[in-house]
Amino acid sequence: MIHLLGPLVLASVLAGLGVYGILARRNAVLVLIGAELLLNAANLLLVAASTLPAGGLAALGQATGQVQDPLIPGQSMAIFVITIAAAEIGVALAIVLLLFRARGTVELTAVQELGEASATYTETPQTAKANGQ
Amino acid sequence: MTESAALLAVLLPAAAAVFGLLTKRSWAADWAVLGSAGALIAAIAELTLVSTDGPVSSIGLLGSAQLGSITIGLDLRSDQLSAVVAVMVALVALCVQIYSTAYFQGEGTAETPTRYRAYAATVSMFTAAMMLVIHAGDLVLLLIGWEVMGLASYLLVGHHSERAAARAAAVKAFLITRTGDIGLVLAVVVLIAGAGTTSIAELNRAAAENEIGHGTAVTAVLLLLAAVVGKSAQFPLHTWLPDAMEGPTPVSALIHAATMVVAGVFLVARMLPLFLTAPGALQIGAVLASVSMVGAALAALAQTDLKRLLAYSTISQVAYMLAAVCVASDRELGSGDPVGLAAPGVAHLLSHGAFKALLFLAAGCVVHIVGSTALADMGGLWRTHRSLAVLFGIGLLGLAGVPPFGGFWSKEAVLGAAEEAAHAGTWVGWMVLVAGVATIVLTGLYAGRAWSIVAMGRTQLSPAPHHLPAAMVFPLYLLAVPSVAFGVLLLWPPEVLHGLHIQPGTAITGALLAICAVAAALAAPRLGTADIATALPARAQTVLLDAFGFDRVIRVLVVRPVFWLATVVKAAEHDVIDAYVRATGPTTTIAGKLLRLAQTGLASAYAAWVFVGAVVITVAGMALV
Repeated sequence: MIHLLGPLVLASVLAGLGVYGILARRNAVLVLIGAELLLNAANLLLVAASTLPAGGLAALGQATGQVQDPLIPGQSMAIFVITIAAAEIGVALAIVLLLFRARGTVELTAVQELGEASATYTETPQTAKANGQ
Repeated sequence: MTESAALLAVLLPAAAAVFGLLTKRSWAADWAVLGSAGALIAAIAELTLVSTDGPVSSIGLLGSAQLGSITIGLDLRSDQLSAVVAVMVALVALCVQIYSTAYFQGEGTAETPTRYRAYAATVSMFTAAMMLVIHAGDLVLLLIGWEVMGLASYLLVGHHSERAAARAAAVKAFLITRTGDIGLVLAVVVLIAGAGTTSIAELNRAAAENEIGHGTAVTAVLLLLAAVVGKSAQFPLHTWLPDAMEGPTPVSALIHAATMVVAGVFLVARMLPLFLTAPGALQIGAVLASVSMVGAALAALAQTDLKRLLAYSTISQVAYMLAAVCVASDRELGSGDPVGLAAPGVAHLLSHGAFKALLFLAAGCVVHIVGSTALADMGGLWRTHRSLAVLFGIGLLGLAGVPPFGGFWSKEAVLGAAEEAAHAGTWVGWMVLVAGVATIVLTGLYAGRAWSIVAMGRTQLSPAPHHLPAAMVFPLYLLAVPSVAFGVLLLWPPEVLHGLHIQPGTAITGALLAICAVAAALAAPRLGTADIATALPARAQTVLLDAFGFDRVIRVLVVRPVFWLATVVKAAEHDVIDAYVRATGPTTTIAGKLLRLAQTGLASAYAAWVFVGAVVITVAGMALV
């Protein structure tokens, strides 16, 4: 039995790295890796929490509260998250690949056409056609 | 048998109304006349059967309605009171329908189409509604008939809806009678809550045995009185009736003689045992009736329009009926037989129905000849149309109460009842007696004045005798019979009129006063005054013509506050409620402009918003839990 603090601290560090990666990185692949880190932080928390007795943190010190849920819901949830993360990364990498083929770059700052503030923003398909794009 | 007769009396006019509208246009007149003729036959059969077999307390019409804990039996009832009034209503309705076939001949002009089919159907509906009121065994059923009458009067008064005056009169009649009708609806509610039933027979029985709480009885009776005052055009809700003269003349005959205004008096007579439990309310009714009686007779004296003169006379005569039933509690101090106590009022209701319908239909003929309703345009009827003048005179003599015409007997019965109450030492009796005697004089004066202007006076009619269609003259003869011969009925009175006592003292006084008043009015032209109203001081004339300016009082007390309130409500609606609605547009636009700023196209920025949201939710969750 390891102490609960270790997994919790690790999960916090992973989550912080993930948020940083998503917010600060401009490369789409690295942003995706940030998202993966975030998911894994959540996974770690789920697995760690599933070792807690019924009643959660409050029941930890009590001898009577040591019975574990036989369905180990935290670990089951982690399996689900891993599956979904695999599917998500597959779709996301496909998009990134297409983006690279179309633009020759995966820089997020270079693809802002959907935002109004971007220089290449167009209101409607009609005006886009009129502008020759 | 009685059951079928009563059902037919109600359903035949209703069926005539429906079929008259649905079938061929050329059949409208047949349906209307047949419907009311059938109703008359049914009513006569009902009267005969009721007199031999006794009353029937419950005739199934619409089954019963279960409303929460109480069951309302939507049944008819039939007794002598309903049967005699039904005969009178059906007779007047038949006369009006026959008369109307000639009155509304042709299609009219483009500006004033006759619209005979809708008119005849509405009159049939009006008759059916009155029959329903008469025969209703339950207040809820009575209320239905009562409301349909309100609708029919609105439609008929506003029949010539091309004229603004007709529209205004229709709306006025509707609004004012509605004001009173609220009382009837509330009375039903009070009686359901307080007495647990709306059956008229049950209420009367409970009232006679003092089973209804005093508070409930007084509240219910006061509310019913409000409805009666509104429908019967008594002070202070009387102003709709003179204005209702904008309707076609046969409609005036119907409203004034048979339906509508007498419904109020009928309601009091029907519910008299309940009314007797609240003598205070009856005293209020007697005061209102006395005021209406004298006030309307004074106003009638100075009218310059024949139809308005007759309208004020109706208010005055209906006040007689109402006063007669309202002194009931003072006559026997609540212990007597209610049928007998209501008899004078019912008798006047019947005789008034005959002579007032006769007067209005005759006035319609005069208007047809002259082409105007103003008294100033009339004159010389005696020389140009003698038979019509005689019929008009019979009506006026009945109105004035000159013996032996019908109005005399019933009016003296009313005065007899008032004298009885006065002898019992009550102020109500004295008040009604004094008002009644004063009104006899005034009635004689204005009846004589109408005669001396319309029948005598200068010949202003076209020299070539204007031909009157037979359909317009025949109903007059039909109505003249009961107007003249009503007194014969008192020799062998039906059970419902057994309570009539004509006191020799009041009868002789009343007859002499009426004759003197009529004679004075008739003699006036020979003494140099063409119109006795012009003998009055100019100021008095204006006041009386204006009916004491009561319309202005209503305008200040009711109409202006209502308009002011409407302005306030409109402002609240437009400037407060609508302001919120209108603000949604600009608010959405501004919010949209703000949110567009966040739409940068940079995926990381969107993710940042997601994280900010997550943080906000987490912090809020921690703070709140």
